[in-house]
Amino acid sequence: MNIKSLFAVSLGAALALSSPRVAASATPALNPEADRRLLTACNLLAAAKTFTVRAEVWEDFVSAGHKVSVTRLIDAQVRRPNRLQLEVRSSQDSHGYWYDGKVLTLLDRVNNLYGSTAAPDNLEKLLDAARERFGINFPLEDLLVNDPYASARAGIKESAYFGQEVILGVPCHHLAFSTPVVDWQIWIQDGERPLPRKLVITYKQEETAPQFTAIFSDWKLNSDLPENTFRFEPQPAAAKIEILPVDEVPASVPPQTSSHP
Amino acid sequence: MNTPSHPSRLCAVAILAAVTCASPSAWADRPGVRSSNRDRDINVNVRRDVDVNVNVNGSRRHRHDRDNGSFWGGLATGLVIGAIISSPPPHQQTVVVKNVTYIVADDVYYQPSGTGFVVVNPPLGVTVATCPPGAVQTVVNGQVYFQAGGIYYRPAMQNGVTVYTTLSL
Repeated sequence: MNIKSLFAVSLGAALALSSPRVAASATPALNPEADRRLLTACNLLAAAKTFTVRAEVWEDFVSAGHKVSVTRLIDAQVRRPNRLQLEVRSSQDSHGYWYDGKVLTLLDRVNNLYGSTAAPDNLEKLLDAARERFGINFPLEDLLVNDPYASARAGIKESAYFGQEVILGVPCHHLAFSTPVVDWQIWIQDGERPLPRKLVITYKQEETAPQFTAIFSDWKLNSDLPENTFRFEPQPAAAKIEILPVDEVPASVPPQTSSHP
Repeated sequence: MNTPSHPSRLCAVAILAAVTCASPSAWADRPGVRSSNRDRDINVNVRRDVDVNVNVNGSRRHRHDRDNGSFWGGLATGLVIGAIISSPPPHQQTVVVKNVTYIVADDVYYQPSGTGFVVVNPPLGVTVATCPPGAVQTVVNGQVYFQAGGIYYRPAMQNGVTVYTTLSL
C-alpha cells in the first residue's frame, strides 16, 4: 500500500468517524467494549461446570391502576449441561423446579402439589420445551443456558458501554443492549471474576414499558452439587397432578348448568 | 384444602368490611431476553387466546392480565361460597354459562342477592386459579381433587402454576 492510498483510507476512516450517519449505516451501533465485557462474563459462566446464585427480582405489573413492582427471591443451582434446581419464592407463591437431564418436576409448595414430565437432555432444549409445550418461562433463563453469549448476542441491534458503577458495594461495568423487542442492561463485576451483579430488562413494546430487575448475590462457581440436588423427592403428603400442554383445555366433564345457581 | 395462612385470606376478610386491598400476585413470568427474541418469530397471542377462552377473565397472573384490569390477585379469592359482598371488584365481567348469568371477578363467581352479591359455585367445566377456602382434599381413582360446595376441583399445572377445573363426579 503506497502513501497515497494509505492517506485515502485514513481520510475515509476519519470521515466515517466524524459523520454519525455514515458510521451508523456502515455498521450497526454495536459498542466493542460492551460486547467484549459481555463475552468475558458469558465465558466465565459457560466455563463453570456448576454454579449457584441468589437473585432478588422485581417485576413491574399494573394492578388496580397502579404500576407495581412484584418481588421474588430465586435460588438457582446449575450443573452444566443438564442439571437445574430452582426455588422461587414470593409473598404468595413458592415453587420448586427440579431437572435431572431426564425429568422436569414442578412443585407448588403452597398447595404441596407437583407435576413431572419427561424432559430433553440439555438446558437449552429444556427451556424451549418447557416454554413451547407447557407455557413455562424459566426465571433467569438467560443465565441458565449453556452458551449464554450466543443466546444473548442473537438479537442485539445496538449496544453501549456506560462505564463503572457500584452495585451493592461491588464495582461493576454497566452495559446496555437493545433488541427489537426488549432493551436490557447488565452490570458486570470489575476484575478477575466478571460475574453479572444486576440485570434489567425493559419490555419496551408493552404498554407502560414494564421492567424486570434482578440483583445477583452469593455466586459460587464450580462447587460440588451432588446428584440428589436435582432429583425431586416428594414429601409423603404431596400429591401428583398433571402438567397440561400449553394449548389444552383442562380435562373435565362438558360444562353444565350450575347446580347452585 | 391444606393451604397455610395466606395473604389472600386476609384480603377476603377485608373486602367484607368494604376495605379495598389490592394484592398483585407474585407469580408472573415474562420471558427473558432469550425468549423475547424468539417471540418475534412465533405467535405470541397463543397463550392469550387460551386464557381468555378457558378462564373467562384469565386465571393466570402474568403479563396480559394488564389487558383486562385484573391482577387483584388475592383480593376476592378465598371468599367462601355463600358470602355476600356489597359489590364485586371493578373489573368484573358478566358471563352466561348454560343460560345462567354470573358475575365473575378474579375467578370468583357471584350472583345478585338483595342489595348485594352472593358468592356461588363456579359452573362446571371452568378453570379457576384457587379453590374456595375450606375445600377438602380427596383422592378418587388415584387422582387428587378438592371438594367444596358440592362440586369437585381437579388440580393441574398450566403455564407453570396450579389451576383447578370444576367438575362433578
